[in-house]
Amino acid sequence: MRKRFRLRIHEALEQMYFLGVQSLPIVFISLGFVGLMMILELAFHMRLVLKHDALVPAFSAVLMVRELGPVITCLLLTSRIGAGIAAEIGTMKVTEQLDALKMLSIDPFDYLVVPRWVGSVFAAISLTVVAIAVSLWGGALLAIQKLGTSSGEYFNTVFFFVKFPDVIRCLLKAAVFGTLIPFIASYQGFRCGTGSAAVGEAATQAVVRSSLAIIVADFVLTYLFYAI
Amino acid sequence: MISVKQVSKSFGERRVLNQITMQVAPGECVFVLGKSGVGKSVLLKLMVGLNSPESGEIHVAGLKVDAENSQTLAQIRKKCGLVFQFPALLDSVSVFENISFGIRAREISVNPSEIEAKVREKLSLVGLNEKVLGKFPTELSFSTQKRVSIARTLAVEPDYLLFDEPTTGMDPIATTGLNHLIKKLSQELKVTTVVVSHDIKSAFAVGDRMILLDQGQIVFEGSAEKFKTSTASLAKQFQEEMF
Ligand SMILES: Nc1ncnc2c1ncn2[C@@H]1O[C@H](COP(=O)(O)OP(=O)(O)OP(=O)(O)O)[C@@H](O)[C@H]1O
Ligand SMILES: [Mg+2]
Repeated sequence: MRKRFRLRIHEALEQMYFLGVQSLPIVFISLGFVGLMMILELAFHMRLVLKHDALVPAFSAVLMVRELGPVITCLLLTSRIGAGIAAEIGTMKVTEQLDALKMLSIDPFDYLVVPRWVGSVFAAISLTVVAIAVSLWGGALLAIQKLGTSSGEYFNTVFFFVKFPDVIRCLLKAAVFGTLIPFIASYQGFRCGTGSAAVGEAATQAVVRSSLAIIVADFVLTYLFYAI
Repeated sequence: MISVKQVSKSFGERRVLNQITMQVAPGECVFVLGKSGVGKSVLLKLMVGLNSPESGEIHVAGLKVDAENSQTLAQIRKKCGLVFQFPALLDSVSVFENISFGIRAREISVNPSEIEAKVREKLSLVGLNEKVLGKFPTELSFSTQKRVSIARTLAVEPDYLLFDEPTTGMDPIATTGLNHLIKKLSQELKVTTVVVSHDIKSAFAVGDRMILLDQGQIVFEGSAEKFKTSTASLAKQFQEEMF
């Protein structure tokens, strides 16, 4: 039996800053535009089918909270940090830093994976919240401008349709995705072969596999949350 | 006591070590000589379970080295210090962190000022200036990195010290200093030491006993005096390098 893992506070804080705070701009910009795009698309479809667009804000908010918010945020997070984690650990393996850690009685899992895990879950959850807030705000601007909704109306319909359990499930999704990224990326790093090409390969595989894992996990979670 | 019994190791088709049997007595300093690629680094890694033999057994301090048994392995590693051939310093933290890491992890000391004193002491043992403490490994030359890695290993105060080519790439003055240090550690602190290298001069300077590896096997084993008169062909080649 392995001992319970140890959390290194200092490393975890560093990772929270690096993985979370530094990913803010990309999430801010991307999800802002996703929010705008959704309002336009939904308005088009609803006018086509329902002949009016009163429910556009509600639908876009629901879709954002249930699916796009956590998924897009974590896919962005993957491309930003998955490759980095795999390359860093892969390089440490190639240059025998991992062996050196073991010889100093430091568990590479404790030292490398646990802080990244904490950092990544923190980043995934907080960035998802920011992402949804930004996209709702962007959506509100556009809805007021283009659809003639008032801001009171907009947020009323949004809060009527988005239920509290949806928010909890959304954050749960973010936590799961935030766990998948560092574990898959570290795994790729730890099993990295020798040489710099192998490090590159590990980084690529980390992004590919964690993106895939997020999309599959999203389906599984949506199924568990809403279809059973 | 380190005991290696009939250990073999292959990579793919190639058998690197073939039925190696050797012992290192407590407090003894054994110098393993051999040409490049003969398997010296592999032999050291086998001793601490960073590699697994395909046959044979290795015991360190009476404990069997077994990659499957992580608890025993952790116990063995706690007694050992390995200086890697390539410095293998953690490149994301400073020299000070590198040296103090093991002290904290092995709980040799928890008091910050005591840790700092230990770090400075080990640094001066390897002949480095305190100015390097705040630097990052990538800012240092290879031989300085190597010396930091030796300080890092000494800092955990191991009972068994394994050196992989400690003097390669160092200037003659640093080499002499390091040879003295290795000798002193084994003589005064009774640290059981294994040095692998192709540096024949260092072998004479520090080794209580010499072992010569060739094509996966031990072709000579004995004192420095005996080595000088050995008739093994590789021993002769090494003798020519020396005299
Ligand atoms: N992880 C590995 N995978 C495949 N082959 C390996 C591995 N490690 C070592 N070898 C092979 O084992 C042989 C011995 O390697 P080793 O590094 O022990 O040599 P060495 O005696 O330390 O040489 P040098 O003096 O150049 O350091 C080499 O031929 C090397 O290619
Ligand atoms: Mg070697």
